[in-house]
Amino acid sequence: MHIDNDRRRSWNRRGASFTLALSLVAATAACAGAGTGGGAGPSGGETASQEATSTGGEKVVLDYWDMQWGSPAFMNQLKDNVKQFNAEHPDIEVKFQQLAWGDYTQKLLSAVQAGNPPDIGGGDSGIPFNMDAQGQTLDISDLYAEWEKDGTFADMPDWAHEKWRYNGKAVGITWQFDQRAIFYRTDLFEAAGITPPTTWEELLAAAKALNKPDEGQIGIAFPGKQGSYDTDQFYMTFVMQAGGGLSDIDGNPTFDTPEQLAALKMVKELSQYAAPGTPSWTFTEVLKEFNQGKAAMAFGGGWFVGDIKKNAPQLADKIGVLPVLIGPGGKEAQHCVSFANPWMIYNQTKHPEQAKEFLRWMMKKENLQKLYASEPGGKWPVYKSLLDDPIYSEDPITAELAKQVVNQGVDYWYPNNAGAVGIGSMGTGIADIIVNPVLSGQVEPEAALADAQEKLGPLFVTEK
Amino acid sequence: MTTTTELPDVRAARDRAGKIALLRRRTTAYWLILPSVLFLGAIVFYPLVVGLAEGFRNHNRLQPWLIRFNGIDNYVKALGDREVLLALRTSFVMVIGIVGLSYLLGLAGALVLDRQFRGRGVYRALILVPWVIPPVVAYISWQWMLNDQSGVINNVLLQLGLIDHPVLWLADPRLAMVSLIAVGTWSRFPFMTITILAALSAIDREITDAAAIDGANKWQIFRSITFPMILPISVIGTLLQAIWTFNDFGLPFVLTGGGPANATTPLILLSYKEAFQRYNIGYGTSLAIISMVLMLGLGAIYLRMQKRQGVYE
Repeated sequence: MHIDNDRRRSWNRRGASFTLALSLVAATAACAGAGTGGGAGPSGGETASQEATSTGGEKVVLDYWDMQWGSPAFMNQLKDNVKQFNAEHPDIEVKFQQLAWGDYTQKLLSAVQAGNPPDIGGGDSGIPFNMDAQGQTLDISDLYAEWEKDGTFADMPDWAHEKWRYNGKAVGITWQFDQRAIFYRTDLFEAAGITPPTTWEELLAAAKALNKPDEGQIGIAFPGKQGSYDTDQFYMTFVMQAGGGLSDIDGNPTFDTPEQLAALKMVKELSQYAAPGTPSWTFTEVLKEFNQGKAAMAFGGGWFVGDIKKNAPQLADKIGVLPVLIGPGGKEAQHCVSFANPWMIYNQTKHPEQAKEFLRWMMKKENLQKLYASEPGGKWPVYKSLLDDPIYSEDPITAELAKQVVNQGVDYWYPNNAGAVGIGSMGTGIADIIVNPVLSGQVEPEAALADAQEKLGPLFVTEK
Repeated sequence: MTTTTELPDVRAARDRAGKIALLRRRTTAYWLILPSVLFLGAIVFYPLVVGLAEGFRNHNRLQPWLIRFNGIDNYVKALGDREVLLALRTSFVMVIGIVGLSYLLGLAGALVLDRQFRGRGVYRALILVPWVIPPVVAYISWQWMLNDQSGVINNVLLQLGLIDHPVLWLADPRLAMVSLIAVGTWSRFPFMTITILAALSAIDREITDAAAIDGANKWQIFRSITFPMILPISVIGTLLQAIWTFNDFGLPFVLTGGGPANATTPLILLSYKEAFQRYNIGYGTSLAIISMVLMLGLGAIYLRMQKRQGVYE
């Protein structure tokens, strides 16, 4: 009995020791994993090299997170740019991590909440505003001063940098534009004796004349699916051309306005000459329909050009780009949607000067030119002087698109970013509440806009 | 001589010694499960507690000055929100449609595959294909097949003369729900098939043979013998499917985006949009918790069924 009790006690002690040791190992491994994978947050994101750097002399490690912006060629060039920076700056190592469009907001939100965001990051065209609302952006006004002085800004459309002057800070900088336009079949227009439209009325007339469902041809293809960011872009093009926007000078939402109503009615009317299934279409379906020769016009982006050349080469010399239309807003409102996509620095970075050095380097014209060149027609230049570059001047369609971007392209935050946070936090609200319900015939335009004003309005509340 | 005052003390001491001995015997077991408990605590219980707390807060990440404890306001708002009630209804329609149809298909498939025929093994493997294809891949493929202009389903129906214009499988609110249920059924019925097949395999053939000898026809055998014997596993299978389907985010997100006009937005998708698109963490979490409470109810029924079957003591 005495011997059995001793043996049992011994086993219990061994078991306890073993279990404690196992728990400690697991906990240490978890903490080490969080340290090496994370950014520069205060919650233990430092790596050994960062710790060494804070004492001077060793390599600084920066985390740079950016989106899956384009083709493998483009992403490879982005990674090559990072490699080149690292090679030219032996005291800095930038680690790139790609984010997927499907869950980037969750990842960034979680990283910020965990105190572990990247040092530098890209994202959608409103991410710096959303991050600034959470106190996460580093002011890069000093970089702005440099760029003003050295002529960088003089070579950019104003909106490329004016957009990011916010709350007395410079919260980001545009590195590329993402353009939208209406493509058309030159041969179909010629055969029907129609000249390319320049106004809303002409567009409606052309879509009507070219809509031949019995012959398997639709007048115009555009996205309308709920839950898709593709859907709001066609609508917003008309909102801007109507002289409207998403917020007024005081940052109040402006959904329920005559301009938005005019735009929504225009889209509804155009949908008569689009595919009946438009409420379930994204850009993917639009492009496929255009490539198959079943649409006389299609609303899309710069990537359409490359895709058509690759997948529908027989159409490559039969497509054109409509000029930016003049709507009820007149020539002053003759705009196209062109998202100003930014880079920003997170203020939790432990190495702000090195992060600014990386941003400065990446923004150099020669380095951005390499990115643009890797996917011609995929990304649009932030430097006006690049319009003469062969990337944008050799192909007539690409040249026309590039001119539209530089001369007439703006995005949802135009003309003022007072409502920046509200605009950036709508998600697919415009598609879900305004466009899709009207396209699917479930809601009238007036009711949809009133609903949007009520449901999305609270997002625009700011601290006074 | 023993006095009466000694006996209670002796008894108490003996009880205490017994408890200490029992505790010592169990100590090793507790030590061994400690890592799992810590792990579960970190990845399940801690987020759950934080999530529960968030549900009682007004918390929008982009409006930090408004963050505060607001009691049950989120839940009161949710239960009075037309959009939430519509999403709840959509969730239940999805569950009833998908689980019901996948059970019927699964039952039919299991009854066929329970018979002896040539190549049965191959068909048993093939029937698993919808279940093993990664869900997002499957849903995107279905999205293309259901496209009104270039989808293969409409093209075949038009060629066969069964329709004279394209059917709006994903663009009409009612048809979109039908499409959602059809695709969900297709991806889930293999699980029901193999579950019911396992139950059928456990039925003693002598019972059904004896019934046949006594003059019972196939329907009578199925109704009086087979179905009652597979009923317990059927109930458990449908309960599990109901829980999984209620929480299925991928299917509506990929196939329809929740549209058109919110016709196919279940509660889980609405919760996601609130929390991750509108940064409304508090309200989005409260919707997820409402979903969790409903599923806890189903889970409780599931455990009770298991207990009745003697799985747990």
